[in-house]
Amino acid sequence: MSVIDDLAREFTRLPGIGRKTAYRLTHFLLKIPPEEACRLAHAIEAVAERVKHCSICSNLSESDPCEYCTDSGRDRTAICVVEEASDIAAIDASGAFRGLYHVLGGCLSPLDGVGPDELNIESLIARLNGGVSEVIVATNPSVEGEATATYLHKVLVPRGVAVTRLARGLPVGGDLEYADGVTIAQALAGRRGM
Amino acid sequence: MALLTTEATILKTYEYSETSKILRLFTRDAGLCSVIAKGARRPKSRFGGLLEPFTDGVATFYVKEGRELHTLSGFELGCERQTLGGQLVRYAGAGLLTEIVLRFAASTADERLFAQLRRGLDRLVDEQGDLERAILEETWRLTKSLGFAPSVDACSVCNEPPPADQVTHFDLANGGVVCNRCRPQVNHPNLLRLAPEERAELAELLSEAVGRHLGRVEGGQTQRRLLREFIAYHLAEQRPLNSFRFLEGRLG
Ligand SMILES: [Zn+2]
Ligand SMILES: [Zn+2]
Repeated sequence: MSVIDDLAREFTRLPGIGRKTAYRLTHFLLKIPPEEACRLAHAIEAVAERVKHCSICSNLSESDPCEYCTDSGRDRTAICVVEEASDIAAIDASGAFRGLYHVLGGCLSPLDGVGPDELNIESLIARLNGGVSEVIVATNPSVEGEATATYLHKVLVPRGVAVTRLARGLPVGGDLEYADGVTIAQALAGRRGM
Repeated sequence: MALLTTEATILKTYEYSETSKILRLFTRDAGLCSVIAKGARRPKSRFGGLLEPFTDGVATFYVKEGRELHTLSGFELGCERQTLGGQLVRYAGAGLLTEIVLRFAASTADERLFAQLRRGLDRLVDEQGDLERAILEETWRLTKSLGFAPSVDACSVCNEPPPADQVTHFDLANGGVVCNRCRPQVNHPNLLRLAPEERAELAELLSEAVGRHLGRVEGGQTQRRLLREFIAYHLAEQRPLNSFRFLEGRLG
């Protein structure tokens, strides 16, 4: 095994990268000036070392608590629940929501062995004591996302908060992370009670 | 490269790259298949919201010889079952049925299994009675379609029916009930004690007779355990299915 193969093998571990693309990327890095390749390596090292899950909302951040949890300008009565940390940026960029966030870390999936215990649901429930009046469920508009929303509704409503779900303005089967801001803003405006 | 058009049920979907999805399909004409739906995750994809688990339709894809991943060119909706996401027990049951097909079906046509999966999913959407019964019955039927059926009415060793009031055992290795007379000959660790009413209930769940009892399952935990361990032993090389754990969590 050469170091070239080593790097290519690491690339194939990334989502959507096959063997051919892995070697293409490796050879690209060998063609550019070494300092540029090292910059990439340092950037990877830096995120691996410094980025952690926020102990309140599980967002990925360099600080703990994260920048959303510590921002005093945000509305502390509403929490928007998302599947992945990458969904937060998409929602926040829409400008239509100024409350807090909570990252579940996935969605309920029987086939993958993901039940409620595998998601950050206990930590969400623990946050409800601090004056939260509404939880907006922004799971993906997929059958798994719907099942996850159903479960959250079941466990949150008895705790006296309003539980709303993003309207189906979003394309069913799509992925929040890549939806455009207008679509997200409309979905937020049309959220419905459960 | 040949174009194949076949009825298909979507078992599972995976995200692939920023815009595509990989689907695991169970097809009428070619059994289990993996296809890539390019652009399916774009908000304005021509596939729209069609490509979701538990959905039936007619899939058209290019089959590349020697390749495992084919390219989906079209999917015509037959019936979607999105409402399964709105009720967790139904969702758990549908997960179990699809996981069984995903793990144990072959990449060849299997008309019986194909039809049984659809019947099972339809029942989980429509069932008005006891959901646990529906899940147990449909899972046993799917297991039977895969060629594994336990013997309950007669002893799996001597072939005689045990007395109705006898406490018998269920022998995973022999794949059925063992009467008390034969019990000493069977000395492996895979014996599960079976009270008379538990054996009667198992027979009932395996029966497909019209007009059979359709009330609530009494010994739910025992019946789930029998089914789970039977599948783990005969199909899954002792690796239990993920969906069972989810189902247990929902039924308690
Ligand atoms: Zn935070
Ligand atoms: Zn016997």
